[in-house]
Amino acid sequence: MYSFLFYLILEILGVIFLVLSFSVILVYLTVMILSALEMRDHLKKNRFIDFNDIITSPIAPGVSILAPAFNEGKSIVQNVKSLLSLHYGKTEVIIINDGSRDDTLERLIHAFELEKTRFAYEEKINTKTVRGIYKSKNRSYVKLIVIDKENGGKADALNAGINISSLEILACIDVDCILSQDAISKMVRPFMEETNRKVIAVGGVIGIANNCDVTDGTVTTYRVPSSLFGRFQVIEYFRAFLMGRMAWTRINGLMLISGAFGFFKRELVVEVGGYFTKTVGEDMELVVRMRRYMEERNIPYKVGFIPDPLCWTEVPEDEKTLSKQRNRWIRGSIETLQLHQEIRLNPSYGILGMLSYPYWSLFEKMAPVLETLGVLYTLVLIIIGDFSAFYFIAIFLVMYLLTILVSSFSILYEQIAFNNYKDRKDLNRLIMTILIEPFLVHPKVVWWGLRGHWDFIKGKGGWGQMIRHGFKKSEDKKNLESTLTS
Amino acid sequence: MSFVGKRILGVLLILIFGSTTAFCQEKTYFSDSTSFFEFLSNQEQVPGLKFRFTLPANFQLPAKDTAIWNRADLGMWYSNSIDSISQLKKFRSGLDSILASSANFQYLIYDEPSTEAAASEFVSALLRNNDIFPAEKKNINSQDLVLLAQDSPFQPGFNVGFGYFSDFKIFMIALIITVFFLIAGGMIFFMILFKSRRNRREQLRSDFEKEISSPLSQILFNLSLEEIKNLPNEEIEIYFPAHRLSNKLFKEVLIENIISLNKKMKGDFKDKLKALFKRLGLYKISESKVNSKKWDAIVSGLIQINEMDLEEFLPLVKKHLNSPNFHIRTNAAATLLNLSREVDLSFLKNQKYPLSNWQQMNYLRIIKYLYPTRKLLMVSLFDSENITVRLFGYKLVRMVGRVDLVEKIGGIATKASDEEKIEILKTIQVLGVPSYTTLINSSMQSTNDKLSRQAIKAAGSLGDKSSEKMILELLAQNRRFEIKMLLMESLKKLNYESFKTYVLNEEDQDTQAIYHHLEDPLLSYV
Repeated sequence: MYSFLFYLILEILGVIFLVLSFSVILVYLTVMILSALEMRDHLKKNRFIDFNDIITSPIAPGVSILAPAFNEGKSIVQNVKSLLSLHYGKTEVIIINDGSRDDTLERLIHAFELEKTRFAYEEKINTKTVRGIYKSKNRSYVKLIVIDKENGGKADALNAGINISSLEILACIDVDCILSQDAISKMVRPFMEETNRKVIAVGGVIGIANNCDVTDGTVTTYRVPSSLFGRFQVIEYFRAFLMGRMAWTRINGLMLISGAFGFFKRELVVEVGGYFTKTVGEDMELVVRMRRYMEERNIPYKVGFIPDPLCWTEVPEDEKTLSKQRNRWIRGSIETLQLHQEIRLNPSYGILGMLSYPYWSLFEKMAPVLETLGVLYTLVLIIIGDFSAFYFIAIFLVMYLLTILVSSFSILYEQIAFNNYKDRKDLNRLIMTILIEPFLVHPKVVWWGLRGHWDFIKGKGGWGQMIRHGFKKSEDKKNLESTLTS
Repeated sequence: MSFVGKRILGVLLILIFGSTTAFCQEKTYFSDSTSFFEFLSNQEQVPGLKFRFTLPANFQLPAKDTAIWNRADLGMWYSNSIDSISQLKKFRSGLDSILASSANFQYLIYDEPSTEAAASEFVSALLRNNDIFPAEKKNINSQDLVLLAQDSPFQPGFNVGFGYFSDFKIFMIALIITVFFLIAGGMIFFMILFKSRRNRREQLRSDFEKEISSPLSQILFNLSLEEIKNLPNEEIEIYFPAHRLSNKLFKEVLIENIISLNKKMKGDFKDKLKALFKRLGLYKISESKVNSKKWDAIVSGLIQINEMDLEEFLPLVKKHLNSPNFHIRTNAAATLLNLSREVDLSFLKNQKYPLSNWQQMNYLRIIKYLYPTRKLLMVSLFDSENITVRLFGYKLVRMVGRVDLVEKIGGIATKASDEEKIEILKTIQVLGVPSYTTLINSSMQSTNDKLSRQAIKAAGSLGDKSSEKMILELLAQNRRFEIKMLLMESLKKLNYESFKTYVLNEEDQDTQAIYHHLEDPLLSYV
């Protein structure tokens, strides 16, 4: 009897893994096709647009650039100068010193001739105590505002920035990001093009600056990073930004805008209560909550995405930092999905509930778990002698080839659309990375993902109980903050 | 072969070998009655199989044998059933010669008389189902494994049937692999083709650009406008060889270069470029593009018409004014605005689709440029059924500085929606037109947050005593920080003394914080 049950379970698992493999292939092929169509349309549109008009037009929206800084003393002055020199008319640059323990604030005060103001700070969104708001005596830096506050994390710092921002669009960026001069003009375009559907947020591509030449705040020469982890991330970013997000944009199902470079409608961000500080996936959580808000009110909306290379950042190349980052990312995904479990397969949330949420649950959140289960299943089959070499090799090869295909296509997209990596040697190194990545890097990524799951189960980061219950409505976050305050 | 190629070949080989899976075919266990009986002899006993002998009904059975023979209903004699071959042999040897010659042997399957063929099939079935196993021959040499194997009841054979269909999992795998390779192969082929075509095109473009730049400069700097207009074909061929001018890509590159130069240059050069464009017949490409079904081609054609002032194509442009494609209708409207001698803006008034800020930005740029030289009938925009067009109209009044139209929009404001009132109030405030305090004061009391904020801002610039009174009333009622700040800011602009008095009388934290903010010189230009 038990033997029968055991074999029955094995059979069922076999079918499940087969169906999963089939779905993975179908999903990735669909993603490749959708992203190709979206990229084609984007490139066509770009041919006819003169972005210079936006810079000075009185109709263009104002943009508040929010950049939290924590212990950035070494590079803060250069980074802020770079932000102040962006080509766009109506901007304010808000730097939030999130309780840095180094000399970040002192350097800012000295370099930009800052003075503490008597700014009437209204805490629309709860944050840690704001110690002071600084502005420059020098008219050259009139666009600059510096907030000094107690440490509360990136989301809390951004919320403080949102509280004092006054312009229509919020550009939330990492202060150490390198932005192209026309970054704002290009990112603002989807907001300006809205007609029947409100554009609530626009995401951008993050490029990898490791090993590249940077002149006057722009990447001038592209080179692939020297380490395997660095090159792996170049390919991963291509896959994520040029394929994944482009495909989701095509069907208006984008759920994630990178925290390092995202643009949002300020009015809506304030309306939904800003960033949720109790999750490590605050960027994804905000987008999902904003989308829920629009869906719950039946307001037509869109989340846009611009694939042009406009923002670059240094990525971690050492295993320890990378593993921490991946652990945080997976926990962020789990927490966001838990918080918004109400939308899961809920037709009233449209594509968000019926496609985006299930996709993230299965192919992003559960991917490390399912992959590990697949390996365990194979081991069990080997042990009980029911292992089919043909079956295993075929599945393994298909998956391996799929990975190569998807990665190669993402490089091809980059080459066709932007052609930044011009050196043939760089391309060859990227292709070599594609071939070895499934064996050398992917198992580690799966392992870090599993540890992320484990940390979530253990309740790392606190607030586990509340996150498990989730938000019943998009406004729940706001109500929660009011309860805490009272 | 590349690494990837080898991998693909590997999977294909697996597929090829997989499709001819070897199977074993069952042979007949017993080729004849001798082999069957030999098997039975060796087996000794088979469950369900018994034997007996029969004698004809008229056979005179000796009395001594009647104990082991019975008579059936039909009269036939039959022996007791025998379980094993050894018993059968023993029984047979016990019969006398007359009996032995007359007796017929019979098989019994589950006690039912059967033929030898049926018995053979019955035993074969038992063997096939592993219900019985052949007994080992006692005389076989146990070391002679080859002989033993040869005696196996299986013989190899090829079954050419498609093995995958018999196993669901294998079938699924085969299906996945097939689908995967078909789609992936198709995509790879398409992308490689696309990339190679693109590279070839880019190379040609670069070559053409080099070929074009020199003759274009010569024409612009050496020939007058009239000479360009009347340039004979023979001379054109000196600058641009005929075979090049029949090349579509060459003409495209030429158009792009002309348009690019037109954007950069001024005065006579612009006219020369436009004349050259027409003389070379490049307008035909613009015309065909505008009539194309591809949206990007239409937009490209519209841009060419706009840049090269091809007024004769305005009827074609008008057809695209209400195109469902955002980019087409934006460029069609921009072209019409730019090229029409009389700009009554009625085409904008009749726009079915909402005007985006992007479109407004483009139209504003053109209108600002045209405004000094052409009469623009902005009033028509106020009567549009499309609210976004009306809003654009109010913005235009503000941005072009048409103070003369303020009275008109001020009159509209009383019946307008809140969204329109906000835009009208902004215009009145920016243009600094007084005498709209009634509108401002009533709007300050609106329940629409955005409208009341705009009205409060306008009151600061244009309000009077009644506005000041209303601000103070609202300050007494309003506890919301943001609104309070706006009210105090407007009060400060309207009457500083009144503002100071208010602050002195209100000691709450928010009022003091706002006061300090408004008084801070560093924050005065936030």
